[in-house]
Amino acid sequence: MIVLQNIVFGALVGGLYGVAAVGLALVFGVLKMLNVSHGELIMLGGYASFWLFSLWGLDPFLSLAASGPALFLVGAVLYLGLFSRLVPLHDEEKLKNSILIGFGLALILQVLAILAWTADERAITTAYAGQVWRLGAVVVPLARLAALAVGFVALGGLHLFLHRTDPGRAIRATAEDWQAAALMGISVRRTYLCAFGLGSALAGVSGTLVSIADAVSPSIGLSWTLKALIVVVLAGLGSIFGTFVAGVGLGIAESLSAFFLGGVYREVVGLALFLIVLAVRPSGLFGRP
Amino acid sequence: MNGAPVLELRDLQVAYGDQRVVWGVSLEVRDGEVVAVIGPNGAGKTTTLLATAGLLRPLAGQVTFLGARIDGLPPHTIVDRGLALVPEGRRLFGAMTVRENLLLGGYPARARRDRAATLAEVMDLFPVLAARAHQRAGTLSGGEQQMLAIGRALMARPRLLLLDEPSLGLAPRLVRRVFELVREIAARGVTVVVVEQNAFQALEHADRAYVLSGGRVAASGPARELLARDEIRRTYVGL
Amino acid sequence: MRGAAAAALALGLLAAVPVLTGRSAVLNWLFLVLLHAGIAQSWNLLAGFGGQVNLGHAAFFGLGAVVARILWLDGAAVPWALFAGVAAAGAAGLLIGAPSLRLRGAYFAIGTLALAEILRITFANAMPEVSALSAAQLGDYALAPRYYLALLLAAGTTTVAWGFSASRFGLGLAAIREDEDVAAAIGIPTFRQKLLALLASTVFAGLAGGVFAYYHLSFYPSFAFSPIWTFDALIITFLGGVGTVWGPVVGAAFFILVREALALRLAELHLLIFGVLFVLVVVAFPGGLMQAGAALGRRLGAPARPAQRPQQG
Repeated sequence: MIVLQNIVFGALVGGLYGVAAVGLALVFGVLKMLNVSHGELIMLGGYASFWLFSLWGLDPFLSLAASGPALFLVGAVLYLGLFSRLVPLHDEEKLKNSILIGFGLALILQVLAILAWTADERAITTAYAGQVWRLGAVVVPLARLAALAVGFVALGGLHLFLHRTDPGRAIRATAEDWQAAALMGISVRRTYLCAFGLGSALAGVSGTLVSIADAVSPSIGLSWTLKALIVVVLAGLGSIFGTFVAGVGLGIAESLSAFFLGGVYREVVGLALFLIVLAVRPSGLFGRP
Repeated sequence: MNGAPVLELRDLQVAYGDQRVVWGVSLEVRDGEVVAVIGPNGAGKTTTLLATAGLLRPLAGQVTFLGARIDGLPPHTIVDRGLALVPEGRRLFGAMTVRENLLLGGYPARARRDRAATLAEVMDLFPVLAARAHQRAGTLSGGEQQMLAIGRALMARPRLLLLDEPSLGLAPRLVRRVFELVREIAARGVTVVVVEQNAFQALEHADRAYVLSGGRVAASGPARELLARDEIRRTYVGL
Repeated sequence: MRGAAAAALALGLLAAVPVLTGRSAVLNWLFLVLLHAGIAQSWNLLAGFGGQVNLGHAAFFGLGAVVARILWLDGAAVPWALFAGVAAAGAAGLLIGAPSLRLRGAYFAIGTLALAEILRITFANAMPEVSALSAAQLGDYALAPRYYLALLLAAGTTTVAWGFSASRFGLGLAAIREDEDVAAAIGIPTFRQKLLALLASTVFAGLAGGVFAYYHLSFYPSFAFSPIWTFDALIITFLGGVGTVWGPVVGAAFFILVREALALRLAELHLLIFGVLFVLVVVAFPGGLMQAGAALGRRLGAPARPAQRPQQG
C-alpha cells in the first residue's frame, strides 16, 4: 500500500513535469532552439499566482487565466528581443546560442526575482489545501489531483489547437519544414513568435500548477528545466500525450527510487534514465548520430 | 500565346554565400503559357526558381510578377500574390494528413476565402487524394506524393505555378501523367513554368522553353523548335 | 615569441607577489582572479576551442572540491587529495561525455546540466553539514601555498589553451567547432578529439575545485556544485573572448574587480549586471571584450587583430 501511495504521489508530480516538458518541446520542435530558462518562466508563473492569491485572494485555479497570458507576453518579448536574432544562423550555431542565451536569462530572471521578492519560499494556502480523497489506504490530495487534471486539459486544448485550427497547423508545418511552410504562405517569423509565446504560456500554466502543489522560490527554475529536458529526451517530440505520459513515468520512477533506495538518491534516477536513453536510442530529437 | 507578361526575370543573379550560381538570367513568361526550363545539373535552374519564389534573396536583378517587383519580398507574401512553387523533392509535411497538407496549401488569405470550393476542385482533379485524405502524407507512394505536392500548390489558387523537377523519381508512366496534368492545369487558366532534367518530356509538353547552362540562358524559343535543333537534342535531350 | 616573453614575465611577477607583499588583501584578490581564470579557462578548453557547450562545469569543480576536501581533512597529503579530486572530475567527465559526445545537438549540454544539478541536490541530501577546518588546521593556515596552487592552475590551463591554439589537435577542434560534418569528412577523429578536450577541461575543473577546497575555511559541500560556478565560467569566458587564449584571464580580472567592488553594496547586483552583459555579448559581440576592443581600436585606426571566432550565419 505504501508503494501504491508512492506511485500516486509520483504520478501527481510527474504530470506537472509533463506539462512543463510540452512547453519546452513545443519551442524546440518549431524553432529548433532550446530555451533553458523555461524553468524560470515556470517560476514567474508560480509567483504570478502567489501574488494574485496573497494580495487579492484570487484562487490559483482562477489565476491560470492570468499567468498563461502574462507568460505568453513575457515569452513574446524574450523572443522579439533576443531569440529572434538567432533565426538566420545555421542549425547548430542556432541551437548552441539559444542554449547560451537561455542560460544567461535563467540567471537574470532568478536574480530579478530575488531582488523583487526576496529569496524566501512562498506557498499558497487555500481553504481546500488539506482535503484528500481516500481510496482504501491510499490518500490522494485533491488540490494536486485537480492541478494534474487542469494540466491535462490544457494539453488537450493545445492538441486541438495544433490539429484543428489554421494557426495550429501552421505551427506544425513550420516545425516539420519551415521552407515548405513559407511556400504555403505562412509567415515563419510570426509562427516562431506564436510558438515561443505558447511555449512560455504553458510554462506559466505549469508555474501556477506548481504553486498549488508546492512552494515557489526564485531558485526553483533550474530543476524544472532539468525535469522538462529529461522528459523530452525520454519521450521524443512525437506527441503531446506521449510527453505527458513520460512525465508521469519520471515522477513515479523518482518516487519509487526514493522509497526503495532512500531519499538521498531521488534525483539520480533522472540522470540514469537520461544515460540509458542515450545508450539505447542514440539519435532523435536533440541531436543526430 | 500572346498574353500579358506574368513573370519577368531581368538579369537575375543569385549566390549561396560567396558561391555564385546564377550569373544573369533573363526570361519572360506570358499569361496562359507552359514554359519549360531545361539544362544540365548545376545550371542554376532550381536556384532561379527559389529566388523567384523568395526563398533565396537575389544578389542583383529584378523579378516582376503581374507588373510589380517581388524580389526581396518574403516567400509567404509572394505566395499570397498568386505565385506558387512546387519545390524539388516535393517537401510535403509527411507527418500530417493529405487533407491537412491541402488545407495548408490554401493558407494564404487570398485563397482561404474559397478554400472549401478549391479543395473540392483539387480532389476532383486528383481522385486518389480524395481517397487518401486522412492518410499521412509520408505514407503515400512517390506518384501520389507528387500529385499531392501539385494539388497543395493549386490550393493557393495561383496565377503562376512553378514546378521544380516534377518527374524526379517517378516511373515513366507517371511522368507522362504528370505532364498531362500540367497541360490540364494550364487549360484551367494557370500559367506554368516547369524546370526539368527530363528535357524531352518537358519540351514535348511546353509552349516555349529556356535552356540554362552555367547560370546563364544558353538558348530559348518555341519548345518544338528547340526540340528540332540538333545540338540541343544531343546535349540536353540525349537523343 | 614576444607573447611568450610577456607571459613569462607576467608569470615571474605573479610568482614574486607573496615575497614582495605581506598584505593578505592583495594576495586574496589575486588568488580569486587566478582561481576564476582557471575555472573559466578550463571551460574554454572544450567550449571555446571545440564548440561543445558544457552547462554543468560546476559538477566537475564540485567533485574536485568535495573529494579533495574529504581526503585532506581525513589526513591525506594535499597533492594526493588534489589528485583524487582531479581523477573523480575526469571520470565524471568521461561518464557523461562518452555517451553524449557521440551525438550532436543538445545532448551534451543537457547531460552536463543534469549531472551538476543532480550532484548538487544529492550532496545537499547526503552531506548537509558545513565542512570546516579544525582549530589545528586553522593554526597552520598560510595563504602563500594556496596562492601558488592557484597560479599553477591558471598557468597550466592557459598553457594548454595556448597549446590548443597552436597545434594540429587544436586545429582539429576548431574544425569541429566550425562544422563537424566537414571535420569528420576530412578525417578528423571528431569523437576522440572532443572527448580528449573534455578530459582536459574536466581535469582542470577538478583541480580548480581542489584549490578552492584547500583555500576555503568552511563551505557547504553542495555549494561547490552550485550552478553559480558554471555561470561564472561562462560569463568570464564570454566577456574576455570565447575560444581565445587570453580571454578567460582578462575576463577573470575584470569579473573579480567588478564583483568585489559591487559586493559591498548588494550581493545580487553583480550577478544581474554580469548576466545582462553575458547575454549581450552572446547576442551582439560573440568575440567578447577583447574582440570588441580590437574592433573599437580598428575604428580608431589602430592595427586590427584577426577575428578568433567564426562568422555567424
